[in-house]
Amino acid sequence: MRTRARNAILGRLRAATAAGLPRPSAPTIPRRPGRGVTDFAAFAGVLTTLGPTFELARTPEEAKAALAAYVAANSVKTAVRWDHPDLDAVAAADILDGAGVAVIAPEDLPDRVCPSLAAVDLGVTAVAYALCATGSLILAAAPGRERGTPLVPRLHVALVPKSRLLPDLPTLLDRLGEAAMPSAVNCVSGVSSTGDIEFVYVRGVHGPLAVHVIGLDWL
Amino acid sequence: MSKSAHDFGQASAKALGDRQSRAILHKAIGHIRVLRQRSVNAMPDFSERQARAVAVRDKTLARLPDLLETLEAKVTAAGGQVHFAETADSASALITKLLADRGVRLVVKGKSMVSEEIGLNDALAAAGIEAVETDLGEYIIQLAGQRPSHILAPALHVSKEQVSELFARKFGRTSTDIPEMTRIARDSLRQKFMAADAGITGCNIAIAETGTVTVLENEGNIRLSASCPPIHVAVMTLEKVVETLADAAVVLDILPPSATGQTLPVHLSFFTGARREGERDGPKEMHLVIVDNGRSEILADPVLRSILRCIRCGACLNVCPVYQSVGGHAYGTVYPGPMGSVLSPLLKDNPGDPRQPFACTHCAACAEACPAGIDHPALLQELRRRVSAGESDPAVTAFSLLARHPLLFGGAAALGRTFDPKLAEVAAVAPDSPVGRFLRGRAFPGLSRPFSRRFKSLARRLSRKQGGQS
Repeated sequence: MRTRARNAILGRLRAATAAGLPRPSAPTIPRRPGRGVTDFAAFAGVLTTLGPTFELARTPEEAKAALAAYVAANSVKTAVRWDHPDLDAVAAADILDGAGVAVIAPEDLPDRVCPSLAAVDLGVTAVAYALCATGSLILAAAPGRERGTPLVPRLHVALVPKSRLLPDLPTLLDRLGEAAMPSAVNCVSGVSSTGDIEFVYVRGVHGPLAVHVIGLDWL
Repeated sequence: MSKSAHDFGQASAKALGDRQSRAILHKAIGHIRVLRQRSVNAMPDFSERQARAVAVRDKTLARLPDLLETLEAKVTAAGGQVHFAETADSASALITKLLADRGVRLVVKGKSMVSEEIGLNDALAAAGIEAVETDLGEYIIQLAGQRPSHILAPALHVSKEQVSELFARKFGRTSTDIPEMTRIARDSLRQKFMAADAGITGCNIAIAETGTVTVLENEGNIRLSASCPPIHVAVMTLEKVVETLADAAVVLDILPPSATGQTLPVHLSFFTGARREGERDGPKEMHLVIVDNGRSEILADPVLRSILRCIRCGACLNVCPVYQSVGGHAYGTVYPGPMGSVLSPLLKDNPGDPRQPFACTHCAACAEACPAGIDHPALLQELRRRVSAGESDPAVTAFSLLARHPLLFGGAAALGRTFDPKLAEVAAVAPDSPVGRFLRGRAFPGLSRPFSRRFKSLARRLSRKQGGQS
């Protein structure tokens, strides 16, 4: 039954395109990946207009201090984190622990991850890349890098090493094409928002209500 | 979904009489138009982006069967399952059975026009499966028991007072403050996301070479729907595929600016298959349902196939004087506005009023706004020709005769000016006469002072008005 529908549809499409029509109206020119700047000034400039806050850390010590200050300022009691070398580089788990935050490691998560994170205050992640033209964080799912961590808790902190800055989205799609696609790649530009009631812009609908980015200048 | 013939004339007359809704609509549409224009103006290369996008859409349509086969193979290789559905009913039946077989009771849904097209919510409800819309606008519409009135902003026509009243009735908790109302909806929907057995989303772009479903949104509800529940079902119509990631980049260059005036939406997500070995979240099962519902026949139509270039940005709705006046519900179809007037009559179910293509002023604002290079007025003209083939109307025949003979036209116009037959009065007295039928819904000026004579004073008035504004 399913195969029948498939074959009938593909058959009709083949018949419709058999004559070589519709002809492309012009040769397809791929979008040129940008040659734009990749520095924290450009990235943070766009990012902060979209809602998230940004802090540049020049050394691991500054990054640790920034993370500790953020959890203290936002009364964070519980957090969930990714397994990622960029988190290890700032000893994120130890810093959170030292600040009195109960930290959930990926291996502690139950079978249904999202409901278990509903009451968690903070998700701490790294990024696969970050885009300077659009202030975007690129989050890629993998073992130890759950989709729920940057999505379900009320706050999200992302660590962005300088070496992961890319100019723009076409460059990202180029890079993604070099390896197998992860099960989920999320390009997040700003804080979840809506304008669905009378076009009044409201930030913080379904995702985290606030996003904080710590730039790692030495990494 | 009603299969009986819809009367656009009656529905639009009713819509025009509703001053409150028209005011809300007018304000909202004006707002999106400004956002889009600002964004397009800020992109000096927009016309290049547009040309690239048209080329990619045409290349895609020319290779559609191959691309769908590649997509199927790649989704399958990434641990997903692909299903094809010929009609709206078979698509909704397929999804309902799929979910019922897995014991699903609660579904969270991301906004998806194709799920409206296939009547999915009704089918799920009939099977005892609760489907909750999670886009704020769509959620409001669902709570109110209505249908979306815009393909991007489904609750465009609802005022905040109406939302406030609705929330009071449904949740026993309300506010007139919009951020607070948004928070109420967030709290209510959070529980649904966490408890749902399955998530259903649409698909803005499917990338064949990687087997990826791409979705764009601002709220994050689609990300939650596709990430938290153990089953993810993505529904797409078959023309939504592109070949490569680079082609997707070309479409992404024009879609958000044309839709909401953004460079990128807050959430742009690429979902490829099911969760992988070792991953603790993401769907254990991922299904991609590819719906035809008449589109393979549109592709075979040499004149009308360009409507399949459409990327559903909604830009044509926002500039259409007809849509702006009557709103989305008057169309009686899932897809309103210029793209809907072309597409709906060609779909298998719920084609709307067969005379819908006549409700167009041929101002061509839609064609100008369309980032995919669709010439809606030309397509509507063709649909009109097909609908009226074999019909004859004496008033139209007479006008057509005059219009084809400049000398006759000039003579008739001179006679009309001299004797001014007051056609509007004739129409009022005899509404069923050929003249009456011709003038129904048309405002007919007196003939004694034709446009050519009024032009000078009109131009003077206009330039004074513009001078005053600048």
